[in-house]
Amino acid sequence: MKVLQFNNFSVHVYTDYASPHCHLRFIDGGDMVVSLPEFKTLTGDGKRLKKAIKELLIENIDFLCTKWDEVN
Amino acid sequence: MRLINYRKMNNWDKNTYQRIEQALLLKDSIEVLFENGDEAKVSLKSILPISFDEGQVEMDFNSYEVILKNTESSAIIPWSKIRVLTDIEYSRYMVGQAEQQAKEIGKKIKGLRERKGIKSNELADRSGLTAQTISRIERGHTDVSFGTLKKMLAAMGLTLKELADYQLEEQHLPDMSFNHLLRRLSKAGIDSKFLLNKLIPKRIDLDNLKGDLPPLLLNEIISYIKTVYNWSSELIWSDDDLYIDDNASKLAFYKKPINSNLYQIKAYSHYAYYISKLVLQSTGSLEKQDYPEDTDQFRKLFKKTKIIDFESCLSIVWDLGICVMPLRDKGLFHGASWNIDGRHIIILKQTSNSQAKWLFDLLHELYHVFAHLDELNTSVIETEEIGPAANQSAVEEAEANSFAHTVLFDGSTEDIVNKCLSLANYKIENLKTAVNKVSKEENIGEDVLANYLAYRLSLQNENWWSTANSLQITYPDPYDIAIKYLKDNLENNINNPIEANLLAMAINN
Repeated sequence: MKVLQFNNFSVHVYTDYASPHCHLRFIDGGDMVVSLPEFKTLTGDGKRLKKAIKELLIENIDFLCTKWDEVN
Repeated sequence: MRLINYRKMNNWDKNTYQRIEQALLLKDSIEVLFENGDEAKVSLKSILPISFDEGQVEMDFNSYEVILKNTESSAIIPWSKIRVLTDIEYSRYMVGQAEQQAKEIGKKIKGLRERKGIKSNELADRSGLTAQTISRIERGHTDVSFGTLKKMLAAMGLTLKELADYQLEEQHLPDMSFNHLLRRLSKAGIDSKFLLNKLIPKRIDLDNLKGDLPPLLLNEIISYIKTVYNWSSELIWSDDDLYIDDNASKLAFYKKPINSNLYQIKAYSHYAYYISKLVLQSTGSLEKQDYPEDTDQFRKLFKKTKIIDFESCLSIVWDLGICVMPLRDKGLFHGASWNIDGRHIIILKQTSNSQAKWLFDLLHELYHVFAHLDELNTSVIETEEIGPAANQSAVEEAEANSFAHTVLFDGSTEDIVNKCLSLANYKIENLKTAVNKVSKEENIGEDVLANYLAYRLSLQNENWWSTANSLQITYPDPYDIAIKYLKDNLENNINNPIEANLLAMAINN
């Protein structure tokens, strides 16, 4: 389920029994799984998680964690 | 310095592993073909919620998701969920990551709580959570919601954002603060007082800097510590414990005092050993002479007509080619002597300013040099106070005390004691006058004789120490006398400014 949309990527949160995480989906292709609330790369090309992207995620950390709680 | 740890690229990091090329809905399962050619089949039961009616399911998919829906609800299944259920390697990897992640979060939360000085019971009261829940989170259990985590953080005045920021900080920047350095050194036995007094030049005014140490100053402090303890900067700032090598105490700790901090004794012994090496380097032209073979020969080195006092003894010791280094720090050890590459050095460490006590210590250590330090690179470290009343339980210490008394009383210790007691009519109130008379007749220091009699009387439960103390010669200060002899012999040939400063700090107490 898409929960956030930015210029070049969107953030998705799913019902899952894995530990808290979200998916970053880039418009030029590629999916990254990052942990919540630390935003560590679990799956995908870690080099894509640039500082600016991480800062955007941290700005929305409360929203993303609430979404995780809602669907899990 | 920013450290970035790139992960090793795994199979599942590739787009073709993640992207769905085709998906088929079967009777009670779905079949998925990924772009890399992998085929996966999962039952609907395993991916749909229990409440979902599997009877009327329709399916759609995109590159990263399979969407299952009926008339009432829909479920979006990401590629990762299908992979976890069908690829054992990926599943194991994700489980491992989950465990690690939970442990790290628990550790960070505990760290934040401790940094704030909040006890777990107190946090439980503040947050309305149970102490068990807090303990579970801190131990890395994952079955807590973010709602619970937020409550816990809020009770510490923190947010999830701050938790994430704190983690980023922890991840990239090792703690290189002065306070962290002090904690690490303290664990190795180097307390802050000793560090400030002996290892850091006085011009570095730490009080005014209030912990906000500029990098160059911190580096300078590190360079002094490295010089003495032979540690690398990497080791000093690492998570590994700092150990002090055993060079300083290779032969003996004759007695380890009960309840003493052995790390501190080791750290101070190493420091004294390091300074001793500098002293020996700086007195390179001092030649070792043949030592006297027995007490009589040693006594003959003193002028018959003069009382043996601290300075005359010190002068003879230096003439024998033995260095004497005085230190005036409190506690830890009370003296030491070393054979370093064939040369001898005695460390006298007294806080008292009684010349008689310094004289006794010097003779005591000198005996160790004569009798126990013949072998190269050996040492004797006194971890208990030196004196006739102390150390009697160790044979070597008793011998060293006996040597000192034999020298001081020319082998007639018992006769002299009897003479004093007899002259005093065996009355303690007459003893002071008797000591004064006998010391003159026998050419013995009044202070030395008084100390010995006080010791003997203490064996009979008589306390005569205050009278003995009143007879002590304290001027000039024996520490100053010892420093003068040391300085007179130093050749100022140490070119390394850090080493020169360390020696200067040791000498200029």
